[in-house]
Amino acid sequence: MVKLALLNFNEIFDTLPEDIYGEIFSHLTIREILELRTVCKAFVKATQLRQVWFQAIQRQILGENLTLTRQRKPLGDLETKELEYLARRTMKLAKNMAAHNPRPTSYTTVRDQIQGNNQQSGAEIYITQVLLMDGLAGSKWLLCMSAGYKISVWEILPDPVSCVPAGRWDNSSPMLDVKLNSVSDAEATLAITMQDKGQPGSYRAVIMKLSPLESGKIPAFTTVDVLPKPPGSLVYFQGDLVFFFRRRTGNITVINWRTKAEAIFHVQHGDEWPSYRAFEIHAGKIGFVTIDHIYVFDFPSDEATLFESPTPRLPLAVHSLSTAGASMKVEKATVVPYPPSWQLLLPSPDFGMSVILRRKVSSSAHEAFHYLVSWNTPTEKQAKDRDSEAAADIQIKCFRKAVIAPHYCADVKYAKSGRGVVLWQAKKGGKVQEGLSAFDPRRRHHLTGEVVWENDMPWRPFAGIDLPGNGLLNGCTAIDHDDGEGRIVVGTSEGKITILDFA
Amino acid sequence: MSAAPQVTLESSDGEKFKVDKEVAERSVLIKNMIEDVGESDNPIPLPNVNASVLKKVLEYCEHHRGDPLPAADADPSNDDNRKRATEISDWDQKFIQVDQEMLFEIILAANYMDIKPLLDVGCKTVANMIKGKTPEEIRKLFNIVNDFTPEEEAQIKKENEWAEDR
Repeated sequence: MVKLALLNFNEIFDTLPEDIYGEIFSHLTIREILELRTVCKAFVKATQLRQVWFQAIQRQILGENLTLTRQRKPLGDLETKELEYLARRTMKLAKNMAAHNPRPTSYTTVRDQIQGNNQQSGAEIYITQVLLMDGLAGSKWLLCMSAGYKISVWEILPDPVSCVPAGRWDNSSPMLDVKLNSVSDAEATLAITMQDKGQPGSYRAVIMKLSPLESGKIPAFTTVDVLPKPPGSLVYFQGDLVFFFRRRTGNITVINWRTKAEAIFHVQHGDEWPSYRAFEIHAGKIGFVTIDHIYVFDFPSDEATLFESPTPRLPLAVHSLSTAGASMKVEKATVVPYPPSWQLLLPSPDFGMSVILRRKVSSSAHEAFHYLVSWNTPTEKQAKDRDSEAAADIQIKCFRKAVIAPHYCADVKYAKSGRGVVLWQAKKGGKVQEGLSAFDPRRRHHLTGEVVWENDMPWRPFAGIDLPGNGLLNGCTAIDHDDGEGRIVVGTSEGKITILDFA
Repeated sequence: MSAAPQVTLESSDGEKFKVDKEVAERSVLIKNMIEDVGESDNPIPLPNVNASVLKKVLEYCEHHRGDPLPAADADPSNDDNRKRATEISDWDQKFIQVDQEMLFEIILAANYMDIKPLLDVGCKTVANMIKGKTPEEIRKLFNIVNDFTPEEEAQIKKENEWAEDR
C-alpha cells in the first residue's frame, strides 16, 4: 500500500496499483484517457496498462456496437500497444465517419496499365470490379478486374497509404465470368469461366487460388481445379460451392468443386427466364433479381441438406415481388453480407437483400431507389420442419423503398459492419458529377417485435462531391470498402485506382 | 437474545476496533482470514491501514452491513453490473466528501481490504473529478507537477490531435 505521508500526487499516481487505475479509467472515455496522458508521466505510464485498453475496447467500442478496426488476432491475444492502437484508430475512424460529410484524411491514386489483348502497351483499362480480399493474410490485398477480365492484385501499404502492383493473371483465353469466393476470411479463391483455347463454344470453369509466396509478399495465381463444361453462367462462389445458372432452363446448378457433389434447383418462371441481374446468397436464402422481379427463396444452408436430395429439386418457398409496374431497371443488387452479430442474438433476427433499382424519368435523368428485402431467419424448429406449414409461413417481412438521390448508382457494397456505400453519378448542367453516399441499415431497425423501415431512408453524403481534387474519380465504375480499416477503393473507366483513407 | 458475534481489528498504528463480524466481513480480506484461522479473540492485524482510515472504512461497512454482497464472478463489463456498482447513493456521496489525501487512502484501503463497492465509489469519485477538465485543470486540482520536457509534451499532443473538436 502506498503511504501518503507527503502529498506528492506525482508520486501517488506513479505508484497507484494497476487495479485502481483500471477502476478509475473504467469510468472515463477513450478520449479522456488519452487526454490524461498530457497531464504527467505517471498517467502516461498508467495508460500503458493492458487492462485499461482491454476494458475500454470492451465497453466503449464493442459495447456501443462500433465497428472494431480489423485486428488479426483475438482481442485476448493482443499486446497493450496493439490494443491501444486498435482503440485509438477505431475511435478516430468512428469520429470521422460520424461527421456530417466525412472527408478522407488522405488518398492515393495509381493507374493500372495493363497490356491487354488488341491494345497498345500501357493502354488504359476499364476497371469492372475492385475487391478488397479478406482471405489473404498479411497486408491488405486488392483484386482488380478489368475489361477483358484481366486480373491484377495490388498490395495496399499503410502509413501513408499507397498501392503497389503485386501480381497479374493475364489469360489468353476469353473469360466470361469471374467470382471471388464470398466467404470472408477463407482462403482467397476465384472461380472463372473461360473459353477453351481454340475451341469456340467450348467452355470450362477453373478455380484459382491466390497464395502469398513464402516471402508473404506477392500472391501467385494457381489453378487448383477445372470443371469442364460448366452448366450455365457462373453466378456465385461460396466456400467450396460454385453456382451456375442456365437461363434457358431456369436451372441453378450447385457444384462442390472439391467433392464434385452436385445439386440442381429449378426455378420456375413461366415458360422462360428473362435476364437475371443479380444473384446473392445469405444464411439460407437466395436472392435472385431479374429485370422485373425480385425473388427470395429458401436454400439449404448446410451442405448435407443441400446434396442429400436427388436433383431436380424445387425451391421450398419462393417470394417474389414485381418491379415491372414501376418501369424500373435493376442496376445492382447485393446481400447485406455480414449482419452485426448482435442482431443474430435477437429472437427475430432479420437480414436482407439490398437492391438498387433505377427508373428513367426523362431522356437524361434517372431516379435511383434502394430496396431492402428483409426476412426472418427460420427458427431451429422451422428449419427442421422445412416441408411443414410452419416453413411456408416464412414471409418477406417488409419491402420499402427509399429514394437515394436523382442519381445513377454505379456500384454498391456493404462492409462487415453492415453499412452500405453507394457510388453514384449524376448529370447536372451537362456535367457529370460523381460521389459516394452511405447508409447504415442498422439505424432503422426496431430491435424488438416487427422490423420497420422508414419510407424515406436518409442517405448521407459520404465524402460526396467534395472529394479532394474534384474530378479525381471521373468515370467511376466500381468500389469496395472496409469501414473497419476506413478505406474505400474506387476503380474507374480510365484504369485508375484510388484509395481513400478515412482513418 | 444473544449478542451478534464480534471481531477485533487492529490498525497499523495499533488502535483496536471491535466491530460486528457481519460488518467486518464486508471486507473479503477479513472474511477470508476469519474463515482460514477460525474465530478467535486475537485482533486481526491490518498493517496497511491506519486508524483514521480504518475508522472511515468501518463507517462505510456499518452503513452497508445489510446490502447484498457483489457476486465474486460478476462480469464487470456487464452494463447492469456496472450501473449497479457505479451509482453513488446520497449517503455515499456525503461519505466520500473528504480531502484528497483521505480519498486516496480510502481507495487504497478498499483495494487492500477487498471491499469492491467502496473501491467503486472512490474510483468513480476520482473519475468524476477528472471528467471535463483540461490537463492544466487536472494538474491544479491534484497539485501535479508537469514533468514533461517540451518535446515530450509536443509529441503526446500530436498523438492526440485527432481527438480535438473540429
